Amino acid sequence: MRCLSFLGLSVFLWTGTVQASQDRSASLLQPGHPLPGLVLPTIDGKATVDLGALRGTKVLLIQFASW
Amino acid sequence: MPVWHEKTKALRESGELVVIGITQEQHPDRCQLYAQWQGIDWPILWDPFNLTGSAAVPVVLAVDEAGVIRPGRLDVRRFEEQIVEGWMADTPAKPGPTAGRPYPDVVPPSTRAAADSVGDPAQAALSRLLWCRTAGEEHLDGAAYGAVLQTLEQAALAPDADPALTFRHGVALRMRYDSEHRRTGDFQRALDAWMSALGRRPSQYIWRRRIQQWGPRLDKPYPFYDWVEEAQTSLIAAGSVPHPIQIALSGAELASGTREIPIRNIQDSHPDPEAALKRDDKHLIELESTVCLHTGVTSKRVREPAGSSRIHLVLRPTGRAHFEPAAGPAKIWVEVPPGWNTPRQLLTASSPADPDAARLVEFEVRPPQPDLTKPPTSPTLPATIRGTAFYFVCEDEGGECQFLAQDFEILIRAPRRADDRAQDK
Repeated sequence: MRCLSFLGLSVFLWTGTVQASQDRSASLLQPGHPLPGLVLPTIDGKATVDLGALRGTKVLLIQFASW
Repeated sequence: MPVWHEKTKALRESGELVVIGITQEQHPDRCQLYAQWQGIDWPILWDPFNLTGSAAVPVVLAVDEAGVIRPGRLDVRRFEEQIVEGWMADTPAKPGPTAGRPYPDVVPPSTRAAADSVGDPAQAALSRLLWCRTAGEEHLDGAAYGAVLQTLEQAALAPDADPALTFRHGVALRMRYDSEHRRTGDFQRALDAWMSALGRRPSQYIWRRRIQQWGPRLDKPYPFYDWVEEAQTSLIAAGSVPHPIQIALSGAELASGTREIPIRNIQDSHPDPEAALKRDDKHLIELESTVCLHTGVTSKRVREPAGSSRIHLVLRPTGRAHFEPAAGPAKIWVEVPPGWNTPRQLLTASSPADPDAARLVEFEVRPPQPDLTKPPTSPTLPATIRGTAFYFVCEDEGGECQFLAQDFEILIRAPRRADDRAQDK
């Protein structure tokens, strides 16, 4: 499982670098494009989720703030 | 978010739909409390560096089974039409392996080794900061904080660097400020970094809100965390233990916005007009000031209110003395330049029971309002706020206790703008 996480991190880092050099103002979450290989921790710090690995299920991604 | 939570409940329970939240907040514990209060049981990811690159929130995205983000703006008021009758019916989802599980593809926290093995030093530094709080990960010590911050600063200062790197450097500085490895000035440097980044990308509302969270009321679109007390009260009443808030809420984070310029209406008396009180020559108490400017100063079009600021003062024992709570709270006397305004001059610091705990006080200052019928004259910035802090401290060694005073000056200066940077080249 840790290998999966490491793989996700590597993909994110690679993807993020390429994205930054192509379009510096763009969000990584663009309609029509796949989710980036981005591994983020949950707010409780108990797990991480690899966005790029979300396959096979419909997903609603909600970006929000508690404020 | 409660509406989305309620609307998606049936689809989530059937396994047809997975909901994942992402928050860019600096402090994840506050979002944890919010989720607990609202009964949100889907995972919420923490993206304080805004690695996703979002410019604003809230944003809701539909992602299909192939992992591709669908075009179109989702509106919870059109949930039935867009989601149930549209997206779900359009390409019926098969209940996948996630049915009955809280969320898919959860993997344990990554390892420090993984972060260290990344080729790009700045990205590796971000990874270490992002994951050092996750279970099983090594927490950063002072040296590690210093190393990752240096790496991020170098990346942010590189020629033609993306301003996102400057924003992220600021996030990292605020992280260290909230840690036991805090360095004096970390919070100010964080705000300076965020201001610099925002000046180069004014439409980035995630960055703007990060500043406004601690900024003057004149700049606040809404109170940020005024719901916390209600959430705690509600949870306790329901027999639950509220998720703890790790970093105390500042006054700015609870204050509501305003569109008025309040004038001074309280006549305070100076507690020591003859300056007779002994000064803190032994530096028993460190006084740290942080100035959070109105974000309007990052834009060349918005000349005023240049200087409208919220000032955060912290009185912190330096390790050789402690406060004596029984002697009453520390007091602060503030003097603003001619024409400037602050609601009152004599302020009272917080007074926690712990004698070693820092004392906090916040106040706002406003510059003279411009006479729009005349051409601009002298600039309002830089400006200097002067004042004195009064406190009762006891030295740890020898046990001598006394009232002491400490004079201070706070410089309010304009942030550098994007065109200023361009002219430097």
